[in-house]
Amino acid sequence: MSSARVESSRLGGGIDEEAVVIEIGSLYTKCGYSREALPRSIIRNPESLISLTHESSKEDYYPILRDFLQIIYLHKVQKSPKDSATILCEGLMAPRGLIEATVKILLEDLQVPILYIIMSNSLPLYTTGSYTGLLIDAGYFGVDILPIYEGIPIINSFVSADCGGKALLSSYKNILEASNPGHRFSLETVEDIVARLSIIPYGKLRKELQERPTANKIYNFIPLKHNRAISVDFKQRLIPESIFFGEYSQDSSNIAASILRSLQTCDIDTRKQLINSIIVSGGCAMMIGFMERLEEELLDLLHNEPDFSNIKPLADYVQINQTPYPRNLLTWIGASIFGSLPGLDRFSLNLETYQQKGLEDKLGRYYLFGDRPSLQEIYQTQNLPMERMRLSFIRL
Amino acid sequence: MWRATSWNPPYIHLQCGCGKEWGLEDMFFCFPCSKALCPYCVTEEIDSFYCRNCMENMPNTEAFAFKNKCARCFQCPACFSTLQILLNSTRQQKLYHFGCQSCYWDSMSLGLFGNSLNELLMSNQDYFMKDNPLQDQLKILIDTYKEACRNRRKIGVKYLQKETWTFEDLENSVQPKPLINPVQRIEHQSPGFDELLNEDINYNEITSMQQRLSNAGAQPRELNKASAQPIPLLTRRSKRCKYCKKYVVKPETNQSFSNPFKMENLLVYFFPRIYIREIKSNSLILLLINPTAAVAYIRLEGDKVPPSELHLDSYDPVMDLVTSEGSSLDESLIIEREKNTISIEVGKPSNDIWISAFWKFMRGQDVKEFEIKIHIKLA
Repeated sequence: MSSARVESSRLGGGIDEEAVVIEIGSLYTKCGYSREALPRSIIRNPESLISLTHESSKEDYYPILRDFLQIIYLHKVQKSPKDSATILCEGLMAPRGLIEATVKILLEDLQVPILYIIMSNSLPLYTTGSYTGLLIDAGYFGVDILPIYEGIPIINSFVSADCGGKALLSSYKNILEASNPGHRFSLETVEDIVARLSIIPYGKLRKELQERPTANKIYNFIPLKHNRAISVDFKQRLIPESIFFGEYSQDSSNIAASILRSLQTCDIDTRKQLINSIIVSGGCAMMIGFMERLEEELLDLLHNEPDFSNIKPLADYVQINQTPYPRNLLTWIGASIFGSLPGLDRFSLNLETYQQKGLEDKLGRYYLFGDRPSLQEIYQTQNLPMERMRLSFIRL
Repeated sequence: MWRATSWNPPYIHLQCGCGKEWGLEDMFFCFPCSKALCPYCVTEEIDSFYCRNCMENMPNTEAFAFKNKCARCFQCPACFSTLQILLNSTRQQKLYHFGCQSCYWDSMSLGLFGNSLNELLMSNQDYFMKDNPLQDQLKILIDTYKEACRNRRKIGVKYLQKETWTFEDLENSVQPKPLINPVQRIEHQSPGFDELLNEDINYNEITSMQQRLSNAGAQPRELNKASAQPIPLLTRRSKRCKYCKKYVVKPETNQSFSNPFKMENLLVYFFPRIYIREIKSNSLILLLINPTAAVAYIRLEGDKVPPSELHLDSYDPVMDLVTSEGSSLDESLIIEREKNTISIEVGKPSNDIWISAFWKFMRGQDVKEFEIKIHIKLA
C-alpha cells in the first residue's frame, strides 16, 4: 500500500547493484549511490528551477531539468544513465510538473533502464531504525509534518506550515534592504548571511534576552556574491526566531504549535509513541539552536497553552531523536537505505509501462484518495493558500 | 551549457530533426543515418576516468572504490583550487604540508604535515576513512530492517498458530518498539547573552554553504576546521546516435596515441561554416566555407532564394592546393569565389530568415547527402 510501510509481504528481489539515488530538493539537489552513507554531491539548483512553483507546468520544467539531470549523471554521480537503476524521491507537496518532467527526461531522453519513485516524506524514518515517528521536514517551501505509526503514514494528520526557508529569506531580505539603503540582495546572498550569522536563542540565552531585549553591536562585512560591505546589527541575527517560533496564537507561524495540532488529530493510542520519537530533517534544522528551541517550545506549549490541555500529559514523553547524520541529508540517506532493502519492485517504472500508462500519481492514489488536480480544487473552493493547508481526508 | 567556443555567430542557428535550434559547433553528424544530430539526440556514456591534476587514468572499479576522487591530488577547502605540496624547512627538520597558492590556506594548523612526501599523503588518506562510522551505522540499519522484514513474517505465523494468548503476547504484538535504540536527549548548552555579544565574528572565517556542503559528512562551521579534500575525477565520454545506436564520438582508450579521439564526427567538420558578410536593405551576403577535403555541393531553398545548386571547392592549407571543378551551371547567386569559400546573395524578406540547405559531400568513396534548415535571426 504505502512506500513507508515496511511490511511482511515484501518478497526478495532488491537491487543487486548500487542504484543512483537522486533527491531534487527545493534549493539543493543531492545525488549519490544507494548503500552509501553520504551523497556524492550536493548541488545548488539553478536559479531558474528555484523560481518555479506549483503552478508551473511540465513544459516549464523540461528545458531546465534536461541539462541539470544530464550534469548530475555524467559529471556528479559519474555513471552512464543507461546502466544505472535510479531511485527518485518525490515529496508529498512537491510540484506535479517537476516529477512529470523528471520522469520524462530520465526514461525517454537519458534512457534510464528502471526507475523507482518513492515518497520522500517518510524516508528520514529509516535513519532511526524504528517504524514509528513524527516526521518533520523543515525545508525551503514549508514545514511538512507527517506522523507515521507502525509504518503507516497517518495522512489525515499531515500538516504543511508555510514557515519554511522561503518565508525566512524573503522577510530577512526586506529587513536587510531597509537597514542598508541602496542595496539589492539576491536570494543566495541572504541565504549566505543567514547560514553564517543567524542563531536561534534557546535556554539561558532566551531567558537573558527577555530581560535585555536590545544591544548595540554592529557587524560589518562583505557577503557572498555582493560587492559592497553591509552592516547587520545584533538583533538581526535573531530574526529566524520570529519566523519559526513566533508568539503562539491561532494563526501564527510556530512549528511547535503545528506539530501539536497534527498530534491532536492522531489516534489517542498512538500519540505517546509519536511524540517520543520526533525526527527533524531539512536544511532549516541545521541552524544553531533549532532543535533545542523546538524541544523547549513543545514543552512550553504543552504546559502552558490551554488549547493543548487535552494532550498535556504527553509533555513527559517529548523526545527528539538524535542521529549521527547531518539533518539536511536525512531524506537522501533514508532513500539510500530504502534502496538496499528487498521489495523495491513495486515502486518500479520502466519506459514500456510509462509509454503505455503514463506516470500514475502514486501519492495521490495511495495517500490522498484523489489526484493532484482534485487536491488543487479543494484549495480553491476553500479559498486557502497552497502552502498553508491541513489536509483532511478519509483515513486509510 | 557546454558551449565552449564561439565559431558560430549567435544569429545563425541550425535546426535539428527534433525541432530544436543549435549552433553549428554544438552538433554532431551520424554517418549510418546521414543525419545531423543535436546534443539532445545523442546519448552519452562514460568510458574512463582521469584526474585533472596528475592526468592519471583510473579504471572504473578503482574509481568507484575511491568514490570517484583522486587518491593523490587534493583541493583547497576554502577556494577549491588545487593544493600544492610545500616544504617548510628549518635547521632541525623538514616538514611537508599542503598549501593553496591562491588563498594562502595552509594545512599546518590542522596538523596535516609529514616528514616525508609519503607520510603527508598517507596522513590525508584518512579522508577516505573519515566517514566510516557513518557507513558502519548505515550497515547496521540496513541489516536491522532486512532482519525485521523476515521476522515480522515469522511472528505473524507464530501468533496465528497459537491457541492461547497471554497478556505479554498481546503487548508484544501491539507495542511498537524501536529496532535499535540510539536516541539520546538533546543537551541544552546555550551561549549566554554576554558571550554572544562579545563574540568576535570574522565573517570570512565562517564557512559558506558551498564550503560546508563540499564536506557533506562533517559540514564544519569554522573554516579552520575544514580539511583538504581529494579532487573529483573527470571522465572521458563517448556519444552514440539516439536512433541507430552507433558511435558518433569515441575517445581513444590507449593514451599513447597523439589523437585523443578514435572517432569524432562533429558537424563542423562536414558542414560549411556560415558567416554574414554584409547586410543590405533587402538582401544579405553570406559567406560559406567548405571544411571537407573534396568538392562539395549545396542546394539552397528559401523564401527569396532562387533554387540553384552550387559547388564549393576544397582547399588544402598544408599543400596550398585548391581542388576545383570550374564554374557551376548557375553562377548568378555567387558574388565571389575564392579558394574554398563562396559569397552568395540571398533575399531578406524579414528579420527571420529560413533557408533549407541540401548538402552533398564526399567521404572517401562515399557520397553523403542530408538536409538541414538554417535559421538566421537578425533582430
